[in-house]
This record gives sequence, C-alpha cells and structure tokens, in this order.
Amino acid sequence: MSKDITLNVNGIDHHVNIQGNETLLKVLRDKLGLTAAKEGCGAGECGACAVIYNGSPASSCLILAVEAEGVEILTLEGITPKDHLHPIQQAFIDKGAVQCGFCTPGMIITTYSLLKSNPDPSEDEIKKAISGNLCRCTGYVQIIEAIREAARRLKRVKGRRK
Amino acid sequence: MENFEFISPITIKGAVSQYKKGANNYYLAGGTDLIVLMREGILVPEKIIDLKTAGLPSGIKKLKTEIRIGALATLSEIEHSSFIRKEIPFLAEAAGKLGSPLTRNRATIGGNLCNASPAADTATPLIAVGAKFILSDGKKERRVKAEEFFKGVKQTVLKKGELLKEIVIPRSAGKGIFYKKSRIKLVDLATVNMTVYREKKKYRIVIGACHITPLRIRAAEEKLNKAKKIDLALINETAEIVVKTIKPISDMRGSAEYRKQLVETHVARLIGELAGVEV
Amino acid sequence: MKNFINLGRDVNRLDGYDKVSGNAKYIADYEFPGMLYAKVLRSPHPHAEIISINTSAAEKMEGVIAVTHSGKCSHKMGLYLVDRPVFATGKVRFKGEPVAAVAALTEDIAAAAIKKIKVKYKMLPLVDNIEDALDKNATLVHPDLMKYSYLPIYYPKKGTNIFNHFPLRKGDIKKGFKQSYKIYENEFTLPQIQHVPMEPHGAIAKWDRNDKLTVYSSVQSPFTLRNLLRLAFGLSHKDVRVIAPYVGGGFGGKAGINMEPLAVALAKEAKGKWIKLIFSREEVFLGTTVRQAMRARVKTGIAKNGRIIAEEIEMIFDGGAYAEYGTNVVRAAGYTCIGPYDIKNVKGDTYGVYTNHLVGGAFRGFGHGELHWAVESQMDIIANDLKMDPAEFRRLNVLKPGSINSMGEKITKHTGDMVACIDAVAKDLKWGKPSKKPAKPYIKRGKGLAVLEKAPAMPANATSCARVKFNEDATVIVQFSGMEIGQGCITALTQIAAERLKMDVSKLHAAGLPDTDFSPYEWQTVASRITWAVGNAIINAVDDAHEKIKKVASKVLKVKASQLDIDGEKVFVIGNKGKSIALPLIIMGYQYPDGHTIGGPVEGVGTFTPHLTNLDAKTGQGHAAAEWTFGCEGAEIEVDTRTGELKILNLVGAFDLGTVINPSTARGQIIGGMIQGLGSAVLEELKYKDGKIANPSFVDYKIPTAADLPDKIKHIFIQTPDDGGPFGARAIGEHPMISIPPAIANAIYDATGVRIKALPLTDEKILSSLKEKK
Ligand SMILES: Cc1cc2nc3c(=O)[nH]c(=O)nc-3n(C[C@H](O)[C@H](O)[C@H](O)COP(=O)(O)OP(=O)(O)OC[C@H]3O[C@@H](n4cnc5c(N)ncnc54)[C@H](O)[C@@H]3O)c2cc1C
Ligand code: FES
Ligand code: FES
Repeated sequence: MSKDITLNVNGIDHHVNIQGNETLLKVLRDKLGLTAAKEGCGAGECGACAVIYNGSPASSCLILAVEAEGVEILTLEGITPKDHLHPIQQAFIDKGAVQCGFCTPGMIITTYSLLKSNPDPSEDEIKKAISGNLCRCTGYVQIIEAIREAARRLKRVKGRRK
Repeated sequence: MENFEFISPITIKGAVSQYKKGANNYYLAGGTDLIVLMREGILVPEKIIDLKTAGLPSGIKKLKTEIRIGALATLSEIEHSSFIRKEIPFLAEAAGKLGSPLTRNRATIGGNLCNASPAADTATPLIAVGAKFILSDGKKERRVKAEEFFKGVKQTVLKKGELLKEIVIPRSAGKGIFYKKSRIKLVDLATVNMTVYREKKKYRIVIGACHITPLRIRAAEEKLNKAKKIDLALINETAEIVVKTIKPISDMRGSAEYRKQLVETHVARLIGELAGVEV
Repeated sequence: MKNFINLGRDVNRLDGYDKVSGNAKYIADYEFPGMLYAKVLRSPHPHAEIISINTSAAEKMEGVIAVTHSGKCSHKMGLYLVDRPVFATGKVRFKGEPVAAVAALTEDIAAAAIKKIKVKYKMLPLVDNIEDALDKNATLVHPDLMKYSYLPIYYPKKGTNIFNHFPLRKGDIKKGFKQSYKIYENEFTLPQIQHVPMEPHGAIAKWDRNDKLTVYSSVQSPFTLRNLLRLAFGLSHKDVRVIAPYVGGGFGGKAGINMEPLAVALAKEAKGKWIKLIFSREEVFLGTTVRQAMRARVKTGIAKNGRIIAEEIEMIFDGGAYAEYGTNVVRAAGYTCIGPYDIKNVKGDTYGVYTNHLVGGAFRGFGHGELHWAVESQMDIIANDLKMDPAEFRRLNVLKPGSINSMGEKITKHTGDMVACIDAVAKDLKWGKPSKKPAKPYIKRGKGLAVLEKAPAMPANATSCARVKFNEDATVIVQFSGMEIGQGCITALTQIAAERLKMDVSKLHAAGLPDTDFSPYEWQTVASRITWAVGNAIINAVDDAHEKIKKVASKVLKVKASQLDIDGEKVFVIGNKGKSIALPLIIMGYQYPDGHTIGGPVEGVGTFTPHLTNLDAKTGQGHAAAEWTFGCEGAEIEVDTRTGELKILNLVGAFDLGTVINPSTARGQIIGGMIQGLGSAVLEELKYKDGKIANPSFVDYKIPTAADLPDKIKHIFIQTPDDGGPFGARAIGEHPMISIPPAIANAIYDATGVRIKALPLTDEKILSSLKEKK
C-alpha cells in the first residue's frame, strides 16, 4: 500500500508519499532528511530512534508512518534552537556526556521530555527515564551528570523569566 | 517488513468486520509486539487494522465499585495514574517494569494481554486482583475472568475477530505485591514474575513465566487460607506447593531449575511481607 | 607536574557540537543520487558444503541490479592471516556467513530478491567447541590452512585446527616447580561476547568503470581497510579511496576489514553506482567479529615467602570460523600471558583454534581481558589458600622498577607504578576493614580486586603521520587519521598540538575525519595507541613547522635559526623578544617592503614509528610492548545467598595513564570501559544451540542500562609520566574493561566462599554454585 499523508514534524507540515510498511524512523530519515534519529536496532530496544511523539518520547522504529498522520512529532532537529544550543545540548557537551555520539540524539530527546514533566529529577528517576536508551561508550555516569546540570540550568532560565 | 494494507476503522464493528475479511489480518494497538514480529518476518499481515481510531476505550476510569481500564490505555498511563498507584499499586508497579519508558509510552495493556506471553507483566496482577475482561465482537460483549483469558503461549479465549475492549477491576481494600526478576534491572522480559494478593485474609498467588500461561496456584492459596496462623513453616510449605505446581521451561532467560528456585524464595518473601512474617 | 596551558584540563570535545545537534553524519546518514541498496544472504547452517547456488529468479526481479556470490567474487581477505572469503566459498563455516548479496533500487526489493536465491547445502560435521577442535580426529574447518598467506610472526599447525600457537619460555620451568613450596592448578573459561557498538556497521562503495574504487565506511582503520581492499580486489593503493565519517562506537569491532568487501563486490558488478549496505542489529551479531571464547589452565608455583617462582599457562582461544585478525589476539595474550607479575620461570602456550562459531577478532582488551580473567582469579585462589591478604600478595609479586616481564623486557620507573594503583584501589575500598553489615543474614558482602597491564598490540611497523597547516591568520589546522570512534582523540590530539604550538586550543581546528586521498597515513585506530602514537607524530609535525618558520625568520632577522624561538603569536630572538615577527606576517611567506617574498605557506609534517622487535619464535622473548599501562580495579558487592542476586555496591579503577591530557574524556574512557567490563563480567555471553547462535538480538543479549550502574563508581588517575609518550601520556582506552570480571569474582568469593571459574557471573550461576557448595 502506498499513501499520501501529512506529517507534522517540528511544527512543519510535510506532505509525503509513504508505503504502509515504512516506519516513522525511515520516513523521517529517508524522506524528510531528518537524520538525527538513528537506527540502532529497529526493534524498540535501544532508544537511538527516539522522537517526541504526541508529547512523549517513543521509539520511532516501532511506529508506522501511516499511524503518525495528524500527530505532532518533535525530533532533535526541532529541539535545537536556530542560533545556539539548547541548555540540555550544552550540558551534554560541558559534562562530557558524549563519546561516539550515536546514542546522543535519543538521550537528549528522552532528557528533554523528562525535564518537561519532572524539572528536578532524582538520580534514580534519571536512571529509570533513560533506561531505554542504550549507550555503550560512556557508562552513563557523565550522561546522568549532564542531565542534572541541564535541570539546574533550565530552572535558572525559568527563574529569570519569572 | 513486507507491505500491507493499513485500515483505520472508526467503530469496533468496522474493525471486526475488516478483520474477518481475511485470514491474515491483525489488529494494531501500540505496535510494540506486532511491528517487531513483522520486521522479523514472523508475521506477514495482509491488513493491519488500527484499533486506535476504532472507538475503543482508552483511559482509566474510577467508578464506585470498580476501576475500568480501556484496552488502549498505555502502560505509562497505568504506571503514572495516581489512583491506580493508590488502589492497585502492584499493577502500577508491574506496568512500570514493562520494557522502557519509550516502550511504555506506546504499549497498551490490551496488547500486553492479547499478545498472551506467559511472561506478560500485567497478567499476574490482574489475575490476582480478580479482574474481568470485557470482550467484544462488534455486536455482542462478554465478560471473562482474567485467569480464564489465557489458553496457552500466544493463545487466548478471543474468538476470530473478537477484541479486548476493557478491563474491569473490583475496588477493594486488598493488598498485593508484584515481583519481577529479570537479567538486568529494567527493560527486560521476566525470568519470573508474580503477584501475591491478600484480601480479608484470603490469598491469591499468581506466577508468570513458569507455565504456558500465567498460573494461579489455588492449592497454595488454600493452604494459607485454611491456616489459623501463618508462620514461617507454613509459608515455606506453601512455597513448596507453588514450586511443585509450576512447570517452567529452560530458555535464554534462565533454566527451569533456576526459575523454580527463584519462585520458591520470592513467593515466600511476598507472602511473608503480606502476612507480617519475617522470611 | 609541569605547567601546561592546554593539557590536564577539561577542554570540551571538539566534536561535541556536531554530536549534540544531530549534525554529525554517520555512515547510514549518507545518501547519494542513484544509490542502490544491498542485502546479504546468510548461511542458515554452521558447517555445510555448498552444493549449488541458483540466483536466476533473483536476477530476473524488477529493480534488481546486481547479484553476486563466490562464483563471481572469490577473493579472500585478512589482516594477519588471509583465510576469510568475502562470500562463503565451497562451504559455509558458521551460521550467518555471507553466501550471496543483492543490490537493488530499494531495500525492499533487495530483501525480497535475497529470498529467491536458492542454495543447496550438504551438512558437514560440526566443530562446536575447543574440545571438538582439538580432538585427534577433528574435522578440519580449514583443510587448506597451510596454503593461506600469513605474516611470519604466526605459527599455524599443519593438519590441525590450530591457526596459531604462541610459545613463551623464560627461565627454567621445571626447576621453578621443583623449588616450589606449593603448586596450584586451575582452569578458567569465558564465552564469546559482542562489542555492541550502538551504530551498526555500514559501508557505501562505488567502483567506477575506470577501476577506481571509493568506499565510505564506519571503520576504525581507513588506511588498513584501503590496503586490505586493494589486496583482496587486486587494485593499486592509488586507485582505492576510503572516506571515514564519524563512527558510532568501535571497541575493535570496526578494526581491520569487516563487511566492506560485500559492498565492494556488488559495486564491481554494478559499476558506477553507489552501493549502500547497512547491517541490521542481527547482522552485527552474526556478521561482524566477536571477542573469542577462551579456556585457560594456569599452574603456579609459590615459594615459602609467598613469591611466585614458576607459572605454566595454557590458553586456548576459540577463534571461530576465520582467524584473520584474531590470530594476533592469540599472540598478544601469549606474550602477556602471566599478567603484570615478576616471575622467573614461565612456560606459556597460547593457541587459537578454528571452530564453526562466529568469527573472533579485535575486541577492547585484545586478549588481555581473557588472560587476566584466568590469572587474576588464580592469584586470589593462591592468596586465600596461603592466608595472605590478596592485595599484599599482589604487592609482593607485581612488576616493579627492575623487574623483568614475561617477554624479558626490563621495567623502569617510567613504565608505571603498579603498586600505587593497588594502594589507591585498596584505600577506596577500605581494604582490610569488613563491609558494613547487610540488612539480612542471608545477604553477604565482600570485596575483591584485580590488577592488569596492557601494551598496544601492534606489529613493529605500525606507523603514524600527522600534519599541521598554518592559516593566514595564524590559526592552525591539524590533520591526522586517528579515527574519532568516541574516545575523544580529535580533542586530545588537538590539545597536544596546541600545547606544542604554545597556542590556546581555540586557535586550532582538527580535520579529524580521514579521507585516504588527502589525510596523512595512519595504521589503525586500535590498541589504545592513538593519543600516544599520533600525539608523538603531531609533536614532530609542530616541530617541523616551527623549523620552517625559523628558517625564513633567520633570513629576515639575520640571526641563526637556533637563536630563534616561537610562541603562539610570533617568532622571536631568544633573549630579545622585541626582535620578532608576528606569525601572520611569515606563515604564508614573508614579504619585504619592496614586495618580494620569501618562504611560503607553512605546513609541518611529522611521523612516528614505535621501536619494537619481533619476538623469538621459540621463546617469545623480545620487545613487543611500546609502552605499558598498569592498573588495578576493585569491587565491593553483595550477594543474596537465597537467590544468587548480585548487587554491585562499588566499582573503582586506578590506572597509571601518565600525563592526563583531558581529564573529562579520560574519565569517560575509564567509566565507560568499567561498565562494559561489568557487562562482560555479569551478563554478556553469545550462546549457541547446535552450533547456531541463539541470542543475536538485544532481546536476549543484554548490555547494562543506566539502571544497572553500581551504587558507586570511581576512577583514579595515577600519573607517572611515560618517557616515550607525548608530554608523558600513555594509553587508557582498553584497560578499564580488563579486570572488572576477576575483581567481581574475587569479591563474590570473599562474600560467599564460592569460586566461579567461568564467566559470566550471572545470578543464576552464583545461585547454582552456592547450592553446589552446600
Ligand atoms: C523493547 C521492548 C520491551 C518489552 N518489554 C516487555 C516487558 O518487559 N514485559 C512485557 O510483558 N512485554 C514487553 N514487551 C512486549 C510488548 O511491549 C508488550 O506486550 C505490550 O504491552 C504490547 O502492547 P501493544 O499495544 O504494543 O501491542 P501490539 O503490538 O499493538 O499488539 C500485540 C498483539 O495483540 C493484539 N491486540 C492488541 N490489542 C488488542 C485488543 N484490544 N484486542 C485484541 N487484540 C489486540 C494485536 O493484534 C497483536 O497481535 C516489550 C516490547 C519491546 C519492544
Ligand atoms: S532503533 Fe528504535 S529502539 Fe533501537
Ligand atoms: S556515546 Fe556512544 S553509544 Fe552513547
């Protein structure tokens, strides 16, 4: 089956022709050129493909593109501000939370969503939140530190706005 | 993954009639089981029928005497629902131990049950708490007890085209504990999982991943229910009955022998915790 | 310690922006117009003769552009031993071996076409483990072994499954045992494990009609890949171009040559078209290399005073179906076979054998995780039996300045401080004091530690080249071909360049993603050698650039070049800073007021060659270690003795890594390595059923998640400068993974009295061992 659909990604409507068996991940990467989300397993096990789907993070490799019509989708490209980095991204750099970088987009997506719903997570809450994002390089410690640092910085930004 | 036809019915009736049109059609809920199987080529559906548009109930409702969970409720919703956490915390616990947050944001409780894995994490708490499932074939509805729903590995009482609509849980003052052992702490299928539940001094013991279905161990329950006083010796005897009843297999997650040992120790611990006996 | 301007500080990763923004491109992110997509048909059997391959139905499919298999492509490949065909030829030797490949307009078409290829097999007897392989009447996995080409530093055995035997002889082993007061003998084993880089392997290849080959690959070794591709396909180096994008993790699994020839073979059939082949996760498990399984027997003789005076060690590696790179794992484990101990009399025999298992290859630790598992378990068994403190027993026996190691190399005070590593770990673990009492009587706590050493395992001619190019504004571009595989080499190497240039690192840009047509030569990004070896090449490149600047400046300033010095901004006369030329005025050539110009754009070139020798064929004596890194790792754990459940309370690692270039990235290497080590200790195992891999996915091959971290984890830097390293730095990439397994096993013994001699230390195994003990 092939179908013309409208995908709302990062606030923009994209009209694309898709096959029934194409996953959201594949369409984002191959048809929309949004390659920040990665395929690490294609089976929901690694989190490299995470996007924010309808407000919460999900593995885009286990979502069919046809299902995604009418859903708001946010990818790492959409989180990155136009002329600088998001405080989470900067914290990941500053805290040495990045090594090979392959898990990083998914980690940042999960962090983004965690800090939205829980601005001041405990270490255990962070560990649980990122438990579906595998990282083979860092041993997670510096990622957890970066998430805590990002939480601190975001609170400061919020405080200033008030 | 092979291509297929994707259908978004707008009623349950529509969904069922589409389903019945072929021998190789599948309902799609969260897709976290189905899409994995399709990707591996284990399933090659002709039609995928999306239940998310079909008017199935999705939320969690608190009624006077019962709690209703729509088949499309996600595991995340159940994990975080404040009144599930308060009234059936062991179900919230089980939901929160299934897969990862990324999985739980998509995976539905209906999918977890209909997939009918012997290790399904939401099965033992629902059986223990005496839940009933409302099934619909688009015309008629029927209710089955949770413990009668599972028939075998990947097999349920669902008739062709019939779907799971809603889960009904009686509100009660019972207390239960869910336990899951897996190879890594989170994001893994259960080597064993179990729920022990106590209501008005009556126990229910349900063990998962140790039989072709989740298994309620009535003989063990009776042992406890009949006893005047629950002490360590009785708990150990009960655990022995449980171990004698289950028929685990050896697989990647553990040997049959290991599963038995895990069940023996942990079922005793859960009973002890509910009965206030140091195990 | 010296005052550095760029070293020893947390310079943010220079690739950080690319990686947090999604800007970083990995192999799967590349798309070219007209690209074709490839899929591979793999063997369903572990050992079978190929009777026939029929591809006609696949070839007829619409959208299929090329189909290939051993009938069209019969090339063999291999880094050290050329035994591995691109496509199974004549027979298949492991389940998952590539048999044929298809390139088509879409992935779906390629996948459908693969299913239409018909292959007839005839089963052959299975060589399913080390015992099968060594059996007197063993089926030979490679009957033609002696016809393969290999480097003369390896010793295959005719008529057997042994593809390499590395002997080591030191002192007089018979005498050593004769003089021993006690002798201990034990056997240890470990299974195959996977690297599990988060990025699956991939390659994109184009073979032009004029026989120029271009390959993009997720590779640790662009130049070695180029060399091996041109050998396999019979091309000249100048006609092969390898371009390496960011690599999403390697750990050895993307070293040497891997899956690239599959894409190249298809490219040759569809000339002028880009062929893209990206492995699925299952294919990473099946179709790339793994860490070899091993069985070791260790026999140790002890003198009355607790000194080890004799050790005989036999290690047998299950190298799987092909040995091409893995044969050097055998050698590296062989020459380090006794670990970091000072032992007079040694007899080591290390073997690699063929089986019908997944192909063994390079893996973080390169044989050392394996040998230390055996040696460091053995040391604890001995210390406990002697009623000696295991830390003290090690302090007494480890290498110290003046010691002679297994190969006969002399240890100096620059080699590193093993005892300081032990002391640091002991202190962190509160060694000697009992653990806090656990909440329940059936929960037992214990502590354990294990030491380690490793040198880069590389041939004596593993060389490096680097360049520094001045820009008009006196900023600098640094070029090298060490691969950024996550370890942070782009950042560390730029810091080294900046330090030598006496500039702030912000004035430099690293062109860190190599293209063999433009980038300086580098052997491979393996063996933890990049910061150390390329760092040295960069220092030489800076010196070369400075010489060039001074040469021109000496003419302008009319002084001898030797009277000049350069800081980050100017070249000046020593002792007279006023007499100087600002760098921007000279680095593109110096222009006199009348317009005429001398000199030209300044580019420095530097190379580095380690000073090594081959090892003696009979005794293994010689000099194979360019530098050593010593370390010690410790664990405090608790065990629920009723369920076997293991909980890691504390993991600590101390490493003598010399001068720390970048504490943040060094810490990242250490913590990441320790957690990968934790996975190999308690979880990871490739399981076989009837010779077929049974867990080739994340469903059943589990690696640690964030939830599996120990309650505490700590890294400790010991910094004894290495006299041969750049600014005193030495290697740290692999080491943190190595001795976590024995440290945990030793802690389990301390807690429960149960000694487990086979990895992994799963809860299930702990429980069954506890039951056996009762
Ligand atoms: C990474 C990962 C980890 C996982 N971990 C766990 C775990 O720890 N524990 C566990 O139990 N499971 C686990 N699973 C399995 C799976 O996620 C769960 O079973 C999940 O609840 C399935 O729900 P779903 O909505 O995604 O089902 P789907 O995949 O949409 O459907 C599953 C099956 O049920 C049928 N179905 C779905 N809804 C209905 C309905 N209302 N009526 C009739 N039939 C229906 C579908 O046709 C399909 O055959 C994991 C899966 C992944 C990918
Ligand atoms: S690629 Fe989607 S979870 Fe791994
Ligand atoms: S940084 Fe490499 S996988 Fe996380």
